[in-house]
Amino acid sequence: MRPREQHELDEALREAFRQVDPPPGFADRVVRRASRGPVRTIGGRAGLRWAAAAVLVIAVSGGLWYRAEERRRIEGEEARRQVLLSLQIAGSKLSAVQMKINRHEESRQ
Amino acid sequence: MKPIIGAAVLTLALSSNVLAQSFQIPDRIERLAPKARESVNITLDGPLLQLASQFMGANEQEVKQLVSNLKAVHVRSFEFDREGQFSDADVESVRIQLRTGWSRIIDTVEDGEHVEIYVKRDKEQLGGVVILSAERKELAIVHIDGPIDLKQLSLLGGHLGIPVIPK
Repeated sequence: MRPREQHELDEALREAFRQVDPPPGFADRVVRRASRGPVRTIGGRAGLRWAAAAVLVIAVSGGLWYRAEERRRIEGEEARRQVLLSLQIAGSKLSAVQMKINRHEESRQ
Repeated sequence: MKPIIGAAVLTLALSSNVLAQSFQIPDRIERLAPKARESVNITLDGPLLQLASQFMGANEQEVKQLVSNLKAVHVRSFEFDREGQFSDADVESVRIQLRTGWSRIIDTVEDGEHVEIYVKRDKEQLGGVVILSAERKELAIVHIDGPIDLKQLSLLGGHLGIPVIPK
C-alpha cells in the first residue's frame, strides 16, 4: 500500500470510530426500560408451558379413550361368546326334541 | 268418575297381563348353582345383546340378525354329579310363571328327560320362547325374550347345532 492510500484509510477509520455523545435522555431511557423486566414473547417460557399442557391433555384423553375402547371390546367379545353359547344350548335342546318327534312319527308309520 | 275408574281398571288389567307374560328365573333355581358340577349362568339384556351383535363375524350375520331384535336372553344350565340334586318343586317354580300368557307347544318325556317348550304371542309373531329341560342329572332353562320366529331359527339350522324346525 502506498503512503497516500495508507493515510486515506487511517483518516476513514478515525472518522468511523470518532467518539459521539449519546442523544439527550438516552441513559434515562435505558434505565427505565431495564427496570420493567424482560420482554414477553409468544414463543417464550409461557408458550412452552401451554404446549406441554396441551400435550398432557391430549395424552391423558387418548389414554382414557383407549382404555374405554379396550373395555368395550372385551365386554363385546364376552357378550358375543355368551350369545353363541346360549344359542348352542337352546339349539341342542331343540335338536333333542326334534329327534324325539321324528322317532315318534317314524314309529307311528 | 266412572270413566276414571274404568280407565284405572283397564290399566290394571293391561299391566297385570304384561306382568303375567314377563318371565324371571326363580330364586330357588339360582340357588342350585353351588350343588352343580358345572353351571352356566347367562343374563344378556338389550344393550349387551346390541353390543354382542357388533362383534359378530362375517360368518355370523344370521345370528346377528336374530339377536338384533331380541330384548333379553337368560340361560341357567346345571350338570350335577348325582341324581336328586333338584326337585319337582324347583321345576314347578318355573312352570308356574308360564301358566298365564304362555303356550306350551312341545312337551316330551323320554328316558328320564323332560323337555318343554313354551312360546309367548306378541301380535302376529312369537314374542318369546322358554325351553325347560329336566334330566336326571341336568337342568336347563333358556329364556329368549323378544320377537323370534321359527323361520329365523330354522335359518340357523346349519349353525350352532340349531335344527331346522319342522312346520
